[in-house]
Amino acid sequence: MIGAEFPAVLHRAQHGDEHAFAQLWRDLNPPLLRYLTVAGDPAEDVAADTWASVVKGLARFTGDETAWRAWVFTTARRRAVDAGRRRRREAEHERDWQPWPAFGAEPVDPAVVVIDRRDTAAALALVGRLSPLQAEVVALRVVAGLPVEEVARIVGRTPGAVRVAQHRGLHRLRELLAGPGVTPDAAATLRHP
Amino acid sequence: MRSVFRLPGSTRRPTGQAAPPEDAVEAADPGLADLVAALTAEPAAHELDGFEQPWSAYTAQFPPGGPTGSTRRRTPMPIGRLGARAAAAVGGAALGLAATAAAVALSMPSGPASAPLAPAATAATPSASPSGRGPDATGPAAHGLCTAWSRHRANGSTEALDSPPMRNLAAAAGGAAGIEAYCAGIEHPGKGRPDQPGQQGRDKGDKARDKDKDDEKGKPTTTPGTSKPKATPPAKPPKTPKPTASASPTPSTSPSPTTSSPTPSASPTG
Repeated sequence: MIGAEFPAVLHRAQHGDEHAFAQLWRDLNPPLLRYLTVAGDPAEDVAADTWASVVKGLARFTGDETAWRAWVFTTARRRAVDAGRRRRREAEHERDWQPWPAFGAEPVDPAVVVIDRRDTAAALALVGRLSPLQAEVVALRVVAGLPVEEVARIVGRTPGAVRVAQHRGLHRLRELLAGPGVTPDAAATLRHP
Repeated sequence: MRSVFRLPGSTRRPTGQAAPPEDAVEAADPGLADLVAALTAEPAAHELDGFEQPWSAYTAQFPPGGPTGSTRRRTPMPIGRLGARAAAAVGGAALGLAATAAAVALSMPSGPASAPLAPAATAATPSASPSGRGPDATGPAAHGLCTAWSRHRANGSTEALDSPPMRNLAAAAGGAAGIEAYCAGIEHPGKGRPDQPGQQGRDKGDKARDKDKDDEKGKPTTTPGTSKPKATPPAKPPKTPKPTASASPTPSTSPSPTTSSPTPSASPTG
């Protein structure tokens, strides 16, 4: 988050200041890539499409930093959907076209999952194992840092449904971290006999 | 696929009330703390790659000296010489993170490319108001300042317009002529306004109303998340300037663009 400086940075970016735009980009490009990774698309291409759309709409945007983030992530979602449609159309036209693994979607063996502070890729892969709605809700809440109301608008559900999805998603993540066949309670018992 | 969904009669929490505690992700047990930390860790180097394409799109949309370009002199980004990632780091640094700029300067290989970064470090302006007194017009006081400004203007009080708070506002807006536009971008806390044409049904007014008062209290992450660029990615040798797309806007051969950062008494350019 940019914080208190945000209105000034936005204003400068909307009036041609490349440095201000760089700051906006630097603040959101990593979370964008992480969100798109969970969604399973080739993240860098969709991120580039997203920024192209953002630049086009930048001068007309008004809002605070939360609204800004919500707009950028909504845009990213639309570009991801467009990319998915393009891929499917291309698949229909090219018999020899083979899907290749989405960016970052390496299978994670839950028995050896060790979540390291630095291991963003493993964390994203773990989130990617949730159901689509749970994965997207957790990504938007944690990675994009958006409040429940904004997430609800983006995913097209009620805030209540978002809270349920978040709760279930986090519960599932705890299970995955604990390893197969081990409940969180049993794991705690093992740690403190 | 719907991107807008509002239940009729869905409640808005009264301003100032905190989000319910079960909203907060950190309410989960400590076992998830590492996962959340990994998801919100500082940017990795590869996540700050690929700035050239957005930068090209930006300068095409906001050409220097064009109708939407800044009317005041900008420090061009040294993107061709330093490479996109370092240029984005400098761009972030020039907005007030002197320590980051100095770190980048120290870690860059010696040579002409590193020369502009040291002056940028010393010229980087803090985010406090340039005159050192009066409210900071780039912060939350902006709206109050804008209200006062339009009142002074309506009353024709030229003296009031010259007070330190009004001068701070002019500085934040890049000059007295820019105040009107700057204030147009400052949203009244609680006032709604559509922010994008063509967003059918998307009611940004609701978003604006409940945005910062109650939702910020329910912000999910405990960590600052992908926050300010305090730790710059390790430097790489400057990429050779590409012949297309990412050429620096000015064809100067001297790597001096960031030395011309304005002094703190002028408008705080990025």
